[in-house]
Amino acid sequence: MIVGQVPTVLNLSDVGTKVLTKSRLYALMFEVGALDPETLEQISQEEHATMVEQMHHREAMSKMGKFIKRLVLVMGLQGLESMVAEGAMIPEDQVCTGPEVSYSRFWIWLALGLMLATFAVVTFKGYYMLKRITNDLPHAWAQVADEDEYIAQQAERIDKLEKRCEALETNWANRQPF
Amino acid sequence: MWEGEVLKAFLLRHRFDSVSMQFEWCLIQPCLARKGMNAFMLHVDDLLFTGNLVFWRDVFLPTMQQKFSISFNVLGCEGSEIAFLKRRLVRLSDGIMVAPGTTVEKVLKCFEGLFGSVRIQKTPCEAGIQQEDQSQQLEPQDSSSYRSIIGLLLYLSRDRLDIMFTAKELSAAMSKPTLCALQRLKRLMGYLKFSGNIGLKLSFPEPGKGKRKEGCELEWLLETYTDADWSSNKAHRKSTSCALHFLNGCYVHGSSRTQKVISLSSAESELHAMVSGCCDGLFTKRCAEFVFSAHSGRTIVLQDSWQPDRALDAYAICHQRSYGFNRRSFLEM
Repeated sequence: MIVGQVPTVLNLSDVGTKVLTKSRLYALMFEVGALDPETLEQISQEEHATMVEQMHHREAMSKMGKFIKRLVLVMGLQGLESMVAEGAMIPEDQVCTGPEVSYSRFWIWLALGLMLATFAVVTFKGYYMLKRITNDLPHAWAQVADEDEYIAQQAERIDKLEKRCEALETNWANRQPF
Repeated sequence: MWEGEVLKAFLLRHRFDSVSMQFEWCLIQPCLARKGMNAFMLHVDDLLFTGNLVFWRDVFLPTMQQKFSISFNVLGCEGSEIAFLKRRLVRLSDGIMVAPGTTVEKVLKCFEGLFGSVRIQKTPCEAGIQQEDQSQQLEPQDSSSYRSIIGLLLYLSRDRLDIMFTAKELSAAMSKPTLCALQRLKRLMGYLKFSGNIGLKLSFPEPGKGKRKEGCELEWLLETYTDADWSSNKAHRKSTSCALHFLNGCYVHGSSRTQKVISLSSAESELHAMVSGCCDGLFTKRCAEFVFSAHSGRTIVLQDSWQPDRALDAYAICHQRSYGFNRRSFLEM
C-alpha cells in the first residue's frame, strides 16, 4: 500500500465531505464519470474544463512563486547565517559576523533592486505588448475581412469565366460546318 | 438484515456445493465465488455471473436450471441491459453504465405525494446543513414519511455521489426528524428535480492505468481518495470522512461517514479518514484479488492538504504507546 498526495482541486473525495458549489460538484462528478442515462453523454463538461483551466493557472502561479523563492535564496536575501546557526543549534550571537555583514546587506539591496527592475521591465513590456496587440487586432480583422472580400470577388470572376468557357465550348461543339 | 442475508447466502452456497460445480468461495465476502476465469456474486436470490460465455451457456446455466427455477438476462451487444441489486447495468460502446434502479421520479413522486411539490434547486444542500438544529420535532406521521423518503435516498445515494453527503447528514436526523431537517430534505428533492437521473460510466479498464497513477501493465491498480472536514458539524463536532475507490480508473465504491471520535486537529481527522478508507480499500483489494485470481495488484491511498508522511509520523508519535501503531506495518498492509 502506497500513501500519496493529490492536489486539493483533484481530490475527488471532496464530494462527500463538505458543501460544494454547483460548478465544483459537477466538475467532480465529471471526473468520476457521471453521465446522462437518457442521452449517454457525460454531464458537466464545461464545469470540468473551467476547473482544469483554473488548476493550470494556479500551478503556473505556484511555479512562479517557487521560482522567486529560489531566486531570493540564490541571491542571498535570506539571512543564511541565522539558518546555519539554527541548523547547527549554535546561538546566533556566536555565529561569526564580521565585515561580511555589510557585504551581505549590499547583496540584499542589489538583489532587491535587480528584482524590482526585472519586475518593472517585464510589467512594462507586457503592458506595451498587450496595448499593441489590442491596437493591432482590429486592423488584422479588417485585413482578414478585406482579403475575404477580395477572395469572394475573385471566386465570382472565376465562376463567370468558367461559365463563359463552357458557353464557348458548347457553341464550338454546336457550330455549323462550313 | 445483513446477518439474514449472509445466512441465506450461506444456505444457498451449500446447495450450490451440492450441485458440484466446484466453485471456490471467498472467505472475506461470502457472496463471491469463482472457478477459473468465471466468478459470480450471490445476493439472496439474485446472482451476477461474469466469465466465459461457453461455460455459462453449456455448464452453469443448465446445471442451475436443473435445480432452480430461474429467469436471466445477458449483457450482450451495445444497448442491452441487466439489473442487479436495484442497479441497472447498460452496455455502452466503450464500457458499462451503472444507473440506480431507484429513479429520481419515483423518489420525487413519493415525496411530493406526502409533503407537496418542491421548487428546483441547483445544489443539494445549503451551507448551514451542519449547523445545530433546534427546531420543532415533526409529527409521528410526518416522521414516518421522512424516514421512508430517507430510505429511498440511501438506495439512490449509493450511485449518486453528489447527494451522498447530504443523504448522510439527513439520515442522522432519522431518529428525531425536525422541521429544519424536512426543509433540508425539501431542498435535496429540489436538486434531484433539477439534476434528474445520473448514471456512472465504467470504461473498459486498461491494465495498470489508474486515474492519477500508473503502474505495471500486468497489474491492476486500486486508487483510494480520502478526505475529511475537521469538525464541521457544529452539533457534535465530529468530522466527516469520505473515501472513493477506483479500480483501474473505474469507480468501484464510495462512502461518506461521520467519524466516531472528535478529532483535535485537522491532521488527526485526515488520518482517521485515511485509515477508514484503507479499511475499505483493503476489503476491495481482497475481493478484487479473489475475483481476478491475481495478487499483482497495487493499492494507492491519495489524500490532500497534509503531507501524508507527516500525518503518519504525527499519528505514530501520538498513538504509538497506547495503540502500538507501527507506520511500517501500515504501509505494508
